[in-house]
Amino acid sequence: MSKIITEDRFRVIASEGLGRVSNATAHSMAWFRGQLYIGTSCGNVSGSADTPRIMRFHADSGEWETVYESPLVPVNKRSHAPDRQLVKHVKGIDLDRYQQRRGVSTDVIPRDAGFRSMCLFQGRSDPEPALYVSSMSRYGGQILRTLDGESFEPVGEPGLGNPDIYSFRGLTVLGDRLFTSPAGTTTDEWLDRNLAPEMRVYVTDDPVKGTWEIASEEGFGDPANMAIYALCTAHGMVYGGTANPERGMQIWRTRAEGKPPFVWEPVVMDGAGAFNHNLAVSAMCEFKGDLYIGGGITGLGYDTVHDIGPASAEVIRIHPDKSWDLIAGRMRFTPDGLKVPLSLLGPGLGDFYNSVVWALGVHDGAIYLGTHQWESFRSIEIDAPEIVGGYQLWASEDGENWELVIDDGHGNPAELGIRTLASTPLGLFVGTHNHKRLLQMIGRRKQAKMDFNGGFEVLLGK
Amino acid sequence: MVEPLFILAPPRSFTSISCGMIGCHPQLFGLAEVNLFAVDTVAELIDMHRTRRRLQNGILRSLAELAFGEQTETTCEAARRWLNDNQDMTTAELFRTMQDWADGRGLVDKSPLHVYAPEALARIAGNFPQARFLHLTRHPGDTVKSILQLKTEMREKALAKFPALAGREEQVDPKSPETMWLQPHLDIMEMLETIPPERKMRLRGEDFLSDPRNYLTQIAGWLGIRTDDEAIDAMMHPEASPFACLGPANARYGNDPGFMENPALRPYSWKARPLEWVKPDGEAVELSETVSSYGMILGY
Repeated sequence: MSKIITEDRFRVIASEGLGRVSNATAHSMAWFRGQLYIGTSCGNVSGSADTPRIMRFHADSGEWETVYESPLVPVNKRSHAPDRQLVKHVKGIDLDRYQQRRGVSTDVIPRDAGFRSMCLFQGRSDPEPALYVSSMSRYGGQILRTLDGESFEPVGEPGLGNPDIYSFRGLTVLGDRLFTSPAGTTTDEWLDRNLAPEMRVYVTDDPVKGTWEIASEEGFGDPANMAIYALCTAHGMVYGGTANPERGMQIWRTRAEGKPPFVWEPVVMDGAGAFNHNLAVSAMCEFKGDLYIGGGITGLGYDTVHDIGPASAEVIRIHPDKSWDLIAGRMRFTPDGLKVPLSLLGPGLGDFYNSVVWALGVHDGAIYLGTHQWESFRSIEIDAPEIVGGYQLWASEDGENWELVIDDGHGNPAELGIRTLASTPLGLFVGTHNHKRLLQMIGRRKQAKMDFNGGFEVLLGK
Repeated sequence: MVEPLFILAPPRSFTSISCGMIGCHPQLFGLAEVNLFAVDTVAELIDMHRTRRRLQNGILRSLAELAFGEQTETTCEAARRWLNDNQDMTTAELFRTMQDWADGRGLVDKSPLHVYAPEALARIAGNFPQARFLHLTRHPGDTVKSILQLKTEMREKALAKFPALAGREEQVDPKSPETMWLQPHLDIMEMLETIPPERKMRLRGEDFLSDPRNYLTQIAGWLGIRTDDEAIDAMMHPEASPFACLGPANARYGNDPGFMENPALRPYSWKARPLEWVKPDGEAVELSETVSSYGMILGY
């Protein structure tokens, strides 16, 4: 009997951003002290109504509790510096006017745009395993810690000492060490949510002390690597995946032996033979002894800054000996042999609009994959009679035969992406990303009908 | 019968040696440059040969080799007459006839005009729905440099024969990378959009030549033909191609002159280098954003 949770066994346990529709993303999740925690985020924080939160789910009552809210801080130059990717996507739309219509305060603003990554870790100064959370902030991303799930305190300086670092991604534990990498750059002039001013991995065994050491060479020694985009453990090693607009994603790994910086070895180069159409490693996850990697171009499958794409997501699988398989994508010749997609699914798992594999997770003997699917934007662009599209959730018991579990954003075409997956004793939690605000901004010019919900959702499947 | 393989690339993209290698597989037959699909009918082909006489060499040599198993003045002349007698054939019918004569071997084509003549790619795709396509690439700067170098060599030869041409040098078009490299690749990629994924592959020529045995095995596997050592060994000897040397006096050419002069496989290595091109005067110029963008998509 299949272990895969079918669509009818998923129910929505949070919707419309839990009362804050501008909280578009359930960005991170973790199971801590017998409860689920989620970190929300808002694409464009303008005032207190957008404040992102860390929330806790009480399974017995079905209630959500806010356990942390981003503090409000005075507005400064960085607060509204334009997002250089977004500005190109919504060319012609005055974002400031849009914000004014919403009646936002201009004095104070939430310090954080959201909470990107969560993990459990016991550092040297932690009396017990703590929940660590990384924030996204125009004032420098921070790492928060809680021991009891109620009191969250920053550990270390904003940006770990570099306030131009927007966030940290991929909080990852190997042995008694915690790893992370900077994500995004914040300046007075512009914001880039993905590409960081430092292309390094950092490591610590005591985050409370706020001392992090450099764990890798800058860009793993390749100046074309513009970000360490994902971190994950597998095969007893830390794997790091990059974004590389020139030659495509790279995957490196280290046993993290001795003192940092560690020795990293290349595993997959040149976008796994797809070059920059596999611009970045977007998700990684170990399953049945192999490492599964999602690649692609984030956003709408087109990198506006570097003019790359359009392209659709691919999935590869890495074995412990560094050999790899193409699971879904374009068949191709490579230095490592002829790669035919073992799932028989092409780029985007057969759907051109699946721009990126945004989440990978394992639950009860099956691997799940969540996509970012942007067909709704296309529907508006071509004046389609109906807006269609939305995320897809796929699953597989062997990593090769995949089935589509949920399609079309579970009935809401603004639900464009699955941002996070969490396997828990209660079942599989699915956190989504909702793009209604941006769709509205673009659709307003065309009088497109948008009678669907905004704000993230959380689904529970069991 | 093995279905045909069309190698698509701008000129000077390693197509001759690639076709020479692949075409030496025992189940394949690598053609000379036949350029059939630049036109619709054999009558139009002969008409094209009237103004560009060298272009007939490839088809005459190919027909002679397939029909008679040798290329001599006599067999090439017989091929020319046969073409004249069959002017009402379409070029697709001519290609199918050549397939029949190949005794079950798959024809491998790498005609340069197919990426320049309007409709040629559509003609191939429309007439041969089971054909496979290998899109071969080369660094844009190297491609342009090689084309300009060939032009210079040809001009020097022409000057030796016709000294009156001296002083009428053609200016180098600053848009050479766009016209010589980008446009043919865009046309190829556009046509390949219509082809099912299992029947099209892309390969950097530099990778192919750096590790030919590896890629030849992959190509054979993709084509569904033998991948044993004997078959791959045969492919490692492009000099064994019947078109790896000059033809008889009445059909001397029909292939890249450089390849015919030196057809054997040589050690080759390539390292990634900047997206720039070098003009004949030695000036290195950055490639335009568009050319660079496509260069990166193709792995450069």
